[in-house]
Amino acid sequence: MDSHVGSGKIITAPLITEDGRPIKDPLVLLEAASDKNTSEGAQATNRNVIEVDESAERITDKQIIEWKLTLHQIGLDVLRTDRTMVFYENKENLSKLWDILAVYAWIDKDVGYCQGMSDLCSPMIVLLNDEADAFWCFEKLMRRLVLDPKLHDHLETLGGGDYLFAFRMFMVLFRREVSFGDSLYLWEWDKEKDKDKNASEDGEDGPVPISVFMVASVLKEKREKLLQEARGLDDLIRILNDVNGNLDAKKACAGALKLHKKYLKKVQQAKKP
Amino acid sequence: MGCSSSVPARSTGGLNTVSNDSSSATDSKDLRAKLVLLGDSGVGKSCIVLRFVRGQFDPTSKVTVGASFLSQTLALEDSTIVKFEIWDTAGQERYAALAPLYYRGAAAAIVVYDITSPESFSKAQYWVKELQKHGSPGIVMVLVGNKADLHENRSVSSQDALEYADKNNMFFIETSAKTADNINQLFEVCFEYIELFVFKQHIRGEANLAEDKT
Repeated sequence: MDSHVGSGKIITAPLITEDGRPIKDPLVLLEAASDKNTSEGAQATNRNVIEVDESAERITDKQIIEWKLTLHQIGLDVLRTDRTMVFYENKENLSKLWDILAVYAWIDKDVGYCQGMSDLCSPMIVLLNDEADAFWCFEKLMRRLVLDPKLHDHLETLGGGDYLFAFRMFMVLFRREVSFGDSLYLWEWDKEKDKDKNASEDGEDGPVPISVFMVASVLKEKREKLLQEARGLDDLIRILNDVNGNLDAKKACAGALKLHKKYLKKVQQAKKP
Repeated sequence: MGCSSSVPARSTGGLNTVSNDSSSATDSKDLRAKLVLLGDSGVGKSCIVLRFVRGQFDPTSKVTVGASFLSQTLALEDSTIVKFEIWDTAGQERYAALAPLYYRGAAAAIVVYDITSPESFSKAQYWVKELQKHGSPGIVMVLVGNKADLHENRSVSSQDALEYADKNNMFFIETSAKTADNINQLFEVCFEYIELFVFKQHIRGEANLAEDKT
């Protein structure tokens, strides 16, 4: 792996060139032990040219290069995740977030790291003291997201363009649409409902995740606005972008449940000969 | 938003003249321009937009996922009102595939790098090439070196950037979203270039018309 993982450090500049040559003195920000703040850390390092470390061995494994290249991206994003929270004033927590994302990108090289994942991972670290617990919860969450073929198919059938508006909500599972506290409420609720659903109904196709209904309820809420103002994809994205941070979680849940009931009714009706 | 309902075919891009449906007959023009910001992750694209649109700088600003949209109107000295529709994209390589969706039909592309990061400067050059290949023909390109307040850590010289911009017919400016340096100027310049281009196109259009008649 890499010696930086678990060291309490966060990498914010590339460790390696695209052809696998290690870079000398990569910009390592923020050691958990020191209480230098991040911007001072950045200023202390002055680097005019990218110096390739000729003495170090060149890495040839493409996957490893790919992984090393994501490490600084993770670092850049960790410094921009929920930074208004007191929790992250403790630098150790920042490096926890970095570690978990780095390790996840290592074990799941197909997914690697994608912007938005830090938003998903952050609540795990806030809620679970133990770094290992937080990691496995995050891993489970990712599996649920990535390996949800039903959800994926559904988005596919919505078509490329339509996929986009839901994209962000699914991507960050509403983290950006609602406040931190509300998003925890929402996730909790989402999980509960999916459990209930698995136990009961939905027929051969398996359950449709409740989050689909959540998006649907948001769309319904914005229906009038969309019909009146959206004349192109850009309008659509713009309107839904405005949902940012001011969605009422409880209201959205109630809306989603209603739609879900309606959907079940339709499914049942369709089944009847 | 009401007044724009009469504008057809907004997807044609460039600069759209919004018809004045307010009864007060003024000779001012209402114009609309789509802008897109491209550049490496963490160079400050969102901060530039936020500074321009809201006049704020948020040191805890969040990672952009996918893209975000903001708009801002700018009143110019000649009482022209320009509405900028600004698309702010995510910097991670992963999202590069989505970029054409945002720069398609844009009147101008603002390509941002961080003056303290040589990598971000090469990434900016990548975007310039991409736009030259796939952007709408005649798209105005502006090269922006952001984080100018961190000049002590500068690793991309203004000279290099200027030369590169000249070679590629781009305007070049250094900004700081943190201190607000040159942020408004950036957008004003953007508009001037767009107008220049649209104006040129206009003349060409008339020339064609004249040819048709003869």
